[in-house]
Amino acid sequence: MILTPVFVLFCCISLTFAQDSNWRFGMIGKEWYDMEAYEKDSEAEALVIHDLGQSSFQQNAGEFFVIFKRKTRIKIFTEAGLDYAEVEIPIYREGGIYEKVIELEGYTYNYSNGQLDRTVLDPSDSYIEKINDYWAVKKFVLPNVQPGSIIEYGYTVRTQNKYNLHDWEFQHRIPTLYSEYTVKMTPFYTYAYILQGANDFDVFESGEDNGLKQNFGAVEYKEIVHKFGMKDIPAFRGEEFITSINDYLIKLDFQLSKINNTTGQTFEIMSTWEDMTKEFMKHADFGKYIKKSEKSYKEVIGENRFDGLSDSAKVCKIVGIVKSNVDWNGNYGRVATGKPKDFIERKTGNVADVNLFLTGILRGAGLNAYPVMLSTRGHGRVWRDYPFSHFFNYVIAAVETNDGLIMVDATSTLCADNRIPPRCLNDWGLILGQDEPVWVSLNFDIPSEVSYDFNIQLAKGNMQAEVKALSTEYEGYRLRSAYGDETTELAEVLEKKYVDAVIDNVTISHPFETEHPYQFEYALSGPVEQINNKIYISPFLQETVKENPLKQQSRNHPVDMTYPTKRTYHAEIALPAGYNVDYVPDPIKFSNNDFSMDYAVIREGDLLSVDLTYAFHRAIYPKKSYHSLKFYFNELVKKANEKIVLVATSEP
Amino acid sequence: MLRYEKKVVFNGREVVTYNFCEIQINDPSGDCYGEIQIPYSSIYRLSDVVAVITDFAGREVRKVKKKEMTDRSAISSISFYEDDFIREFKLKHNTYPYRIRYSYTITSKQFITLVRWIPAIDIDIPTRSATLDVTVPANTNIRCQLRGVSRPDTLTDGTDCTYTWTSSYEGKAGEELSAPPALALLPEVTVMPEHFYFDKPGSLSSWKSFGNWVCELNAGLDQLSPGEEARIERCISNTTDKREQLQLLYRRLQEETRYVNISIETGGFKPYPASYVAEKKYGDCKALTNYFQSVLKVAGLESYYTLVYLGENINPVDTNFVVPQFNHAILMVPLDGDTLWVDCTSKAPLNYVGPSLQNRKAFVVDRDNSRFLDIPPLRYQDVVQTRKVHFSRMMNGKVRGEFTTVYRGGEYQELHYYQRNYHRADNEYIIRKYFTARGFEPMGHEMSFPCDDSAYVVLNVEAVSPSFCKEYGSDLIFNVLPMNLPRFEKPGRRVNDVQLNCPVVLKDTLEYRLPPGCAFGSLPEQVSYDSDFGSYSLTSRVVGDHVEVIKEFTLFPGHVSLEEYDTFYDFVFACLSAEINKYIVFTKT
Repeated sequence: MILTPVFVLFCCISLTFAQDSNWRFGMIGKEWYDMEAYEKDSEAEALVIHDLGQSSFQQNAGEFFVIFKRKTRIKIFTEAGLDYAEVEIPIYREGGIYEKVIELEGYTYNYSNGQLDRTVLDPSDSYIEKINDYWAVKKFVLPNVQPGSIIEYGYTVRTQNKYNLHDWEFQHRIPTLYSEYTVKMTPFYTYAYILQGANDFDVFESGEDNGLKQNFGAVEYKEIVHKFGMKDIPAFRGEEFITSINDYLIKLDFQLSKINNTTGQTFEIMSTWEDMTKEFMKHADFGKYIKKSEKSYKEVIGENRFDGLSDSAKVCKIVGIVKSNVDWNGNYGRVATGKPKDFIERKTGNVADVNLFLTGILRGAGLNAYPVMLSTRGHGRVWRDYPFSHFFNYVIAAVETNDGLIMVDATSTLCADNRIPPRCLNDWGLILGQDEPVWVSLNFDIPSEVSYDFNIQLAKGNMQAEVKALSTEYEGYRLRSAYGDETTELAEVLEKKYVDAVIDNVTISHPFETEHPYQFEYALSGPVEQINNKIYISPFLQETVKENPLKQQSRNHPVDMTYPTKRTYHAEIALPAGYNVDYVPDPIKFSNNDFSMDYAVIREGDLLSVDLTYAFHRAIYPKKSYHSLKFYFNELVKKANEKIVLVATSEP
Repeated sequence: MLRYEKKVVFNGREVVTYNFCEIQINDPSGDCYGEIQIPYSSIYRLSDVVAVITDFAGREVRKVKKKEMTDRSAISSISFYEDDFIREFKLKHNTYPYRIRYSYTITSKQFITLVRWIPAIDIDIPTRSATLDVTVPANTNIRCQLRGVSRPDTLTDGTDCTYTWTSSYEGKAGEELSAPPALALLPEVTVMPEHFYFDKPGSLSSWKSFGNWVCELNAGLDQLSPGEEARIERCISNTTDKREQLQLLYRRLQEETRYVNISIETGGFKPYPASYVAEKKYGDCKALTNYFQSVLKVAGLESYYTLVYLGENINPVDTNFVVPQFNHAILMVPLDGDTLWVDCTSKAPLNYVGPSLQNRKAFVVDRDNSRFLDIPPLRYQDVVQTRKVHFSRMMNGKVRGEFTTVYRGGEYQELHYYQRNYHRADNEYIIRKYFTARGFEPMGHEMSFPCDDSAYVVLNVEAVSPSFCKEYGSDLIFNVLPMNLPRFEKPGRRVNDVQLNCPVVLKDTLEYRLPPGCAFGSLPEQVSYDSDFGSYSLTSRVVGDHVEVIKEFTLFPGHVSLEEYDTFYDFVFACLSAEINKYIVFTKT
C-alpha cells in the first residue's frame, strides 16, 4: 500500500469543472451500447465508465455550505451487475448539521433493434432509510435496467459539515474507466488530503477558477480548483483473511486543517497529533468525561479494597468491577454519548461511554490511566503520519504499571481483564492525555495456545480415549464466546464431529474465569479403524487441522491471522495385546521465523507417545509469504492426520 | 417471561392494543432480552412507551427516559425499502436477577386481524403467565384460531364483550435439524372480526369473501399501455401454441424484470400496478405476479393470482380458518388440462416448483370462486444429487479428483442464483468453500445448466488433495469419499419431532485408478440398509484398472414423531457409520 505525503490544497492554473469533465447526461456513444464485456476484465459484471465528483462551497446567510455533486455512468454487463442500479447515498444529521440530497436525477439507456430507449428515474421513487440518530441513507433504484443497459445518475448533497470534506473512492468492486474528483476551495478553509493505495494521479491540475470573483465579508476572492483523476482502475476483489476493504481501496481522504477568517486570523484545526490530543482532552465527551468519571470511583468500587495488590492486579480487579457494573450496547464511538452520571444510571453505553468511564475509575484509584484511540479491524488502519481523527472509531484504556503498560477494555466480560478484544488488534493506537501523544502497538505477540492430551486404550475392536484440552489467550476467548459453560452444546458439537463414537463426561473448567485458560475434557468410546489384520489409529483423533484453509492459487493481499498461535498435541496409546507396531510416521522438526513444527513418536514398552507441536509465529504474513504459508499448512495437515498402524501378531 | 399481557379494544373503527411485558433476567446471558425493539409504522401507530427496571423484589431501580429511546427504519433483508420503523432501547441492571417491565400502545384504523398473540419471547424461554383480553362491541362477530391455548372466558356488559385467554409456555429447545417451523411449536391465538378494513373493506366469513377482497384490492391494477400491449403481442406473434406463448412471455418476464421489494403503507398486501412494473421493470412478488397476470391477459391466456406460504420448512396453512396465512404471491396457469405454478420472481424454468414452494396448499384468487389447490410435492427424480468422481494418484503423492456433480432441488437453486448474481471470483470462493470435498483444493470449475427447461446444474470441479491417499509401509490407502449426510441429534437430546419436507437422495460413483506399481488390495465390504425411513447401500468392485464404489442414500419425506425417533436415529446413525472409516487399499508390488 502506498501513501503519498499530506498535500495542502492551493495552486495556480485556470480550469473549470464543467469544461474538463467532458461529460453530459445522455451523451453516450454507440460503442458503449455495443460493448458486451470489458476487454481488460472480461468477467466484470459492470464497468464504471465515468465517476465524477465535485465539492465546493456555497455562501448562505453569512456561512458556507459544502456542496458535493456526483455524476456516475455505469455499463451493466450481466445480471450480477444489476445491483449497481440500486444506489444508496449516506446522509449525516447531528445538531446543526442537516445533510440533504437535492437535484437527484437518473436515467437508464437501452439500445435494441436500432432503437434507443431512455427511462427516467422519478425522484419521488427515492426513499430515506433511517439507520440511527445520526445516519440515514437516501435510496433509489434505476428503472428498466437489464444486462446491456447503461445507467447514469447524479445528485447533490448539501451540508453544513466542513470538517470532513467528502472523501473520494477511485476504486470499486467493478473496474472503473475514469474517476475524477474536483474540489473548489475558498480561502477560508484549508484541507489536507491523503491518497491511499496509489502513488500518483493520472490527472492532477490545480489553479484559480476562471469565473467571477466572489465576496465574503470584506474579502474578495476567487476559488482555487483542484482536480484529481485516475484512469483504468481495476476492480477491487476481496479475499479471505484480510482486515478491511478500507485498507486497500484506492481513495482520497480529506480533513479540515485550518480555518482562516475574514480578518486574516488563522485557526489550526488539526494540524498535529498534539493539537488533536489537546482538543480531545478538553472535549466534554472525552477528557472532561474522564474527569467526571473519576468522581464515580467510590460509587462503583464500593467496599472493594486493593491493599497489597500490585498495580497490574489492581487494574484487573477494577476492570472486572466495571465490567460487572456496566454493559456495552454494541456501538462503537470515540466520544461518550452523555454524562457519566447518566451512564451509571442506565448502565449501558457505547465503547467510549464504557472505556472512558473505566479510565476515570482507574484514575480514581490513583493509577496512571490514559485513553487510547484506535481503529478496529473492520474499520481499517490508522495512518500515523496524518493527524485525522476520523481514522479512529474506538477507545480503550492504557495504564502505566511497574510491569509495563497494560491495555484494558471493559466492553467484553469474556475477554481477560488485562486484555483487549480481538477486534482491537489492529496496528497502532494513540495514547492521549500525556504531555505528548504516544503511539502504542496493538499487535499481540504472545501466541494463543491450545494444547490437547489424549490417553488412548484399544481393546476388542474398540477405542477408549480420554481427552483434555486447554486454551489460552484469544483461543480461550474464542471458546468462551462459543460455549461458555454449556457442556450440552459442546457435547453436541463433539458428537457431530465423532459420528460413530459415544461422547461422555464432558466437563468445562473456568468457563468465565478469564484469568485462567479455558479447559474442557471428554471421554470417547467407539470402533477402531480396522482393515484386515491392521488397526489404524489417528493419535490426535479429530482435533487437529483437517484441511488447508488457504485454497486460493495466488494471493493479492497479506494474510492476516489476527494473532500468533501455538498448538501442542500429546497422545499416549497403549498397545493392545496381540498387536505390534507396523508403521509410525517419520519424525519432523522444522523451524523458521514464520512457522515451526515438531513431530515425534516414541515407543516405551507397550506405550506409544506421539507429540506434535506447531506454531504460526506471526499474526500477519505478507503476500509474498503466501505460498510458503500454504505449504506449511499442507505439511501440517498431512503430518497431523497421519495414522499409526498396528498389526496383529496373533489372533487377538 | 413473568407476565405478558395484551389488551385489544376494537370499537368498530380502530384497534387499540396495549402491550405489557415483565421479564426476569437471571444472568448476563439473559441481558439480550432487555434489548427491546418495538415495530410500528404509519398504519400501526405507536404511543405511550414506558419502560422500567426493577430489582428482584420488584422495587423500581430506574425508568427509561424518552431520550434513551431511538427510532430507526425496519427493513427486512428481502426488501429494498419499507416504511416500517422500530423503536429500540436497552434495559440493563448490574445485579442479577433483575426484572424489566415495559408497555406500549399500538393504534390502527386499518386491520385484517384484531390480534395475533404468541405469548413467548423466544422458543427456549418459558412464559409463566400470559393474558390476552379482546374487547369488541357486543354486536361484533369475531372468530379465533387457537393453538395450544384453551377457549376464552367471556364477559358481556351489554355494550361490549370481552374475551380473555390465559396461557403459559414451558420453553422448548432451540434449533434442531429438520424440526417443524418454530412458529408451529409456540402457543398462539389469532382473533379477527368478520368484517375488516385494510385499504378496502373485506370479510373473513369465508375464503370466498377473502378472495373477493383480494380481487377488490387488485382491481384496476392490471392496466398496460397500448405500447406495452403491442410489445406483448409481438413477442408471441410467431406462434399460436399456448404453452409456447406462455414460455416466451415467461422468458421475457425473466429477462426484463427483477425482484425489488418496496413496501409502503398498504404495500404488504396491495401490489404496485402492472404499468409500474412495465415501466420500472422491477417489483416485489405481488407486483411481478400482478404484472405477469396482466401480460397473460393481453395474450389471451387464463391465469390466477395465487397466495402461498413460501419456505423450505413447510408451515401448513389451516384452511379451516379464514385468515391470511401467506407470505408470497405466484400465478396459477391452467393450460391444456395441466395446472402450472409460475413464480414470477424466479429465474428458474417455467413451472419449476422448488423446495420452498412444493407440497403445500395454494390459495387461488378468483372472484366468487377462490379456492385452495395442492402444489405437488417434489419427487425423488426432482431432488436426486448424483456425484461421479475419478481419483488418480499423481507422481508427487497427491490425489487428483475429477468431480462431476449434478445438483437438483435446493442446491440447484443456490448455484443457479450464485451463477447469475455473483461475479466469477465470488463463485470461485463459494465453490471452494461449500461445494468442494473436504481436503481437496479446487484447481478449476465449470458450472453448466445444460438446458433452459431443466432444473438441474452440472458442476465439474477439478481438485487436488495432498492427504486423500496415505502411504503406510507397502500400503497405499485411499478414503472412500463420504457423502454429506444429515447429522441428527442423539435421541436423548432431541426435543422436537422431525419434519422432512422433501426426499433426500444422494448417489455416488467413485472410481479409484490403480496407482502405477501397485496391485489391488482390499475393498470396502458391501453394506445395505432398508428401513421405513429410507435406505442406504454401498458396493465396490474392481473394473479394469480401477476400483468402483457405488453408494446411494435415500431419506423419505414425512413426519417422524419423538416416539419413533430412536428407530429413525438408528437408521441414520447406521448410514453415517457406514460412511466413515472406509478405505481402499492398494499394495505396492
